[in-house]
Amino acid sequence: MPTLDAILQHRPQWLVPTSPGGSIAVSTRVRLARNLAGLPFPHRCSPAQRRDVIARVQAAAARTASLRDARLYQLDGLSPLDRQTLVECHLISPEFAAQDAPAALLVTPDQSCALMLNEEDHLRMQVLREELHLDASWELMQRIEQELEAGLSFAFSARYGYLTACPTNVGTGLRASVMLHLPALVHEHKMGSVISAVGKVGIAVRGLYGEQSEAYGNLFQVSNQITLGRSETEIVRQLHHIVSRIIEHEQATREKLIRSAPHKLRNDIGRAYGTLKYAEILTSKEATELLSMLLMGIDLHILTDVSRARIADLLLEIQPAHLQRRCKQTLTSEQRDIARAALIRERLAAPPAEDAP
Amino acid sequence: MLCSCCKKNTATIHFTEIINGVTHKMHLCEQCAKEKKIDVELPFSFSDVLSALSEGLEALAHPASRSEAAGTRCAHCGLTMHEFTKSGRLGCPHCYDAFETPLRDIIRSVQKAPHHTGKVPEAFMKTEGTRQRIAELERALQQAVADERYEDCVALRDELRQLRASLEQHANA
Repeated sequence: MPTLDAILQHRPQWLVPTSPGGSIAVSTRVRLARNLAGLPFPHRCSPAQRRDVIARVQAAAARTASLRDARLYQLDGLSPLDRQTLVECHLISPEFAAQDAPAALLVTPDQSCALMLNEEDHLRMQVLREELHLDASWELMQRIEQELEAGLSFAFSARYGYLTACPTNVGTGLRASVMLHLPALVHEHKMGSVISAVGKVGIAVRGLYGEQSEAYGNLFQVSNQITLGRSETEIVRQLHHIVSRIIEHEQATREKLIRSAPHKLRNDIGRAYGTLKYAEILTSKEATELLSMLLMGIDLHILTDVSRARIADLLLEIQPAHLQRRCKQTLTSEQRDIARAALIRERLAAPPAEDAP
Repeated sequence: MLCSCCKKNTATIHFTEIINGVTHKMHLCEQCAKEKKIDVELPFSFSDVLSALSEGLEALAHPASRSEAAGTRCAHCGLTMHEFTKSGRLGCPHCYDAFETPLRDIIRSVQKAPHHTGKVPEAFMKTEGTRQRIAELERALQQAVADERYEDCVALRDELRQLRASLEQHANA
């Protein structure tokens, strides 16, 4: 089995920005749930059946153009730290990381396609891209699925479509989501009305970090909840419309903030920058919130001596497993807060030329 | 309120325990709750919603047969309706048929739509087309028999035989 470094040495594709003006949409994910016909769902499979699922998918993937280069990681060969790192990279779910029955991850070198084998369903396939690319992500997902379908027979019924372990995913098995950075809407206490308005049409908004009631870091996942009775294209298109509207709303709120309280906004961003540059101890929560302020400062051209890509990288690297991997040792929560502050100081002091494009 | 166990810390966990019909009210601090191995994290999950839904629907539809419905079992994987409402997960693709009636209501209330309108696998499309054609031909054959059009009957039977053979081939592939 390859080591995880074979994957982690590359900068994930979703972290490479493509629009020069910065983006309120951080990343796009499209996920399909599928099960093999003729077998129980994973939680009712024997270990032998679960291994059979992995072997069959691996063989089918090897014959596809899109997954030929993908690497297979058996879950039992991954340490708790490896698993946590993959969770932080958005490649596996926390539920998947926590299980001990046979399961595996199939992932392409650029991390753009990942298949969890034996999560809640036999296959949970995802395409992960930078910024807002719903159509392109769905097209790639569709291609992967079609290529796999040549070698695998998926459980399907005429009435309910693709059959899944949980009826909340049945039908298309499609969950599309966009991660949005919404500091201005949070600052103006407008997220509550956004969440309840889009909820009425079956779209959910969840905080990326922290519990639902107190999300932090201003990062939100916006995704479709309904998977049955709508075509895949309709689901993707509806999400695109709604996400675009939320982005416009955020943009307008930022402009209003600059007009109505320019000094307050510059002050908040400047103080965030100062704290990050000189702090000795930073919790995950504090660092994420301050980095979010910096991102907004860059988008609004208030902050010009640090690149967006550097901040996006830091948001990933300051997380617990990534920090410990970097320090090559287990760290207590207090030690992590010190290591986190040190990493941020180092990155913010480096000359801009060192940035990746 | 102070913790009723250590009487030092503030009680943050309040729960009611019923043992043999006797109710005990407990007020504990987080530490004592942990020591007593009381699960303080009781996440409200899909299965909670599901059991509430299915119980409600079952009670409305068949007030007398609730316990009977809860015992319904999938012949393929052995999962019971009760297990499904507890975990929120079905056991195998056949469960969708085994629990057809309760599932129809549950799916309608979580999904807001009764059936799939998205992508259909190519292989399924081929066999489904064949199945529909077979059903059509069977109806035509009955009509031909009733009308005593025996030449048509022979032609229809031949076509049906071919289609059934190809469907079987697909199933065995």
